[in-house]
Amino acid sequence: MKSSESLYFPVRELRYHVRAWGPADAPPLIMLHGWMDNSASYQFTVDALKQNWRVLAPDWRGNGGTQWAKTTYWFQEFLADLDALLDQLSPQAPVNLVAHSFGASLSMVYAGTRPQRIARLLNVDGYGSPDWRPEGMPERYVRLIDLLKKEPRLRDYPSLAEFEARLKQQHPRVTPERIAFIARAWSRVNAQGRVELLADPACASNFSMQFSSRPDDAMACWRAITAPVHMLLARQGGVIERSDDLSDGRMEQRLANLRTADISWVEDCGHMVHLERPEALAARIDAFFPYVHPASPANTAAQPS
Amino acid sequence: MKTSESIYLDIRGLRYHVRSWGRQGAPKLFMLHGWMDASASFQFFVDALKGDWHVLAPDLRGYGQTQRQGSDTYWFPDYVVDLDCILEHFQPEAPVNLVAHSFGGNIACIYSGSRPQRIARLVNIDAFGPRAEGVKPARLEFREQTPAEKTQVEVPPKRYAEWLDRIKKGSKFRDFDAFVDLEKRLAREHPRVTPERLAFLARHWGRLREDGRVMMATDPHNAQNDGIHISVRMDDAIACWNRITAPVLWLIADEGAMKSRAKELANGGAEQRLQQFRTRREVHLPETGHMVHIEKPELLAQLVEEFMTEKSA
Repeated sequence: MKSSESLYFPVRELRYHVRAWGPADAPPLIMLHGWMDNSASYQFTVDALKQNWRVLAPDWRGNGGTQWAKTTYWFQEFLADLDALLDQLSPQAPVNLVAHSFGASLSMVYAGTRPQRIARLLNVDGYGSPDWRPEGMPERYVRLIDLLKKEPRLRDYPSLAEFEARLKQQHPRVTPERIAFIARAWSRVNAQGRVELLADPACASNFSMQFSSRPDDAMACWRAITAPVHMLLARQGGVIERSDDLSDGRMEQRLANLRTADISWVEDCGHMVHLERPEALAARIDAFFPYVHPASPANTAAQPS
Repeated sequence: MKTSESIYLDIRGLRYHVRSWGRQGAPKLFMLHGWMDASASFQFFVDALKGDWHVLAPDLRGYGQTQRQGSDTYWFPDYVVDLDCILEHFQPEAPVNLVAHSFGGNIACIYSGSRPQRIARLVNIDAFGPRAEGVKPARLEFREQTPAEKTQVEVPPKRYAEWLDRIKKGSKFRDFDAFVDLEKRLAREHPRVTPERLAFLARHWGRLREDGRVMMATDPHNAQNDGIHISVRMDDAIACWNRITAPVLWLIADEGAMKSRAKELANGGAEQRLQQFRTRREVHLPETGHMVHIEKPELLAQLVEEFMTEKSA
């Protein structure tokens, strides 16, 4: 198992934790996790990479080792966090991004907002928000009000073994060794000796993020992306889970907004590709991103103008 | 001048300041101020009320004496949720009478369509909803875009980028040597307002700092309202307006938004929006600027009292 180090950066009003693997002067690769996950889950992917990358994986606000926000977890807050973070991780060169699920949806919007900041983007099973119509807005406001008024809670567990059992249920394709690893990486033991999640309970519902991220706004951003995008989709992943808004050609409609996108599928794999099939993800990463040192002329030439 | 007292509430982790005038137990009148304003500016309106009312007016998050968020951007839906919490605190059962100005009106209209059963009557003062700037006509009219519209510059990525640039720059207000200097500044912005009222407003919109200088009470991050514009869309607002069931008195200051936002509101733009309110009655206020409650508080008090006390149809 490759060892990681922890870096900390001031990002707007928060202290961000960034997990780093590999030599500091190796070609950098930024990896963004999804909702209710954190950077440590990329361990298996990093272990399977053939090339010696400098992997930088932040924990999003409210997750992992990054501070919890005092404000609502609106989708756009993450956009500004990413912008502020990239300024510090790679102030000059456009970045290579690997992003999963919510992180991928966010990255697509970012890549359209700041096209000059992204060199290449590997989207892992991220489709954007549910396809909501304006007519449903009053009901969504009611749901939002009810959600944000409540004191958010996350259940805790009497022991790591029970948390592992729960994770095993949720992720049946993930090996017991990996379940044991993520159980420790996603939780801590509290003062009462119980195992609680590291994530801010206010993050436990992603409704505020979905509420604030309308697909047609997102699609306008997708259309502005200039970097090459590769969509790595899980056969039993997001499309299956969200058949209501991604079936009947609607997923293809979304993808048609991209200028340059290759699509490939990971077979026999659910949404958590980096936990279920990290070798497949790592192989795709090594193939998709040119392994070039940022300072070398070859890479400079490859940058979008 | 009727005296107000201050009530402090914990609303979603923020210390909210609510200004209260009048007799406890009298019929309640909830007031929402607008962008870059504060509850205190309803003083002249309250002074002009003839009836027996208990007036409750919060300073919205980041304004007046209400706590600042401690972050660089304010988002529209947070205000809608805050409003629900405030109304629930003071009047959990009966539907409320709500008077709301400008940005407060936009909050109130979205809320009134989302929780129609919570609103008895709504007075909306010169609040026409989100900016239409860059919003494609198809969105306003619920139809497919024409080929020409499809080639227009896309708004969302542009807005996001502008917002990201702005928060990097940061937001600051200038401060003033003394309240009189702030008054002079306000006099330029509000030429129709009397010097006495400006002196009063300066002391509520401004705050004496420990070093003796006068700073603005508003969080400067509220001055940059990119987040507010990003987080409320025209089609969503219309969907909410359509669901309002309470009678709405729509006050249009003829020299207010109709002038400052003429590009979107002239040539039928205002009517198009008004038509989305099925239960409205509109009244034009001639020779009145946007700050109706400061310029014409007596007229506003009269219209509000008539509307709030009339027998329901």
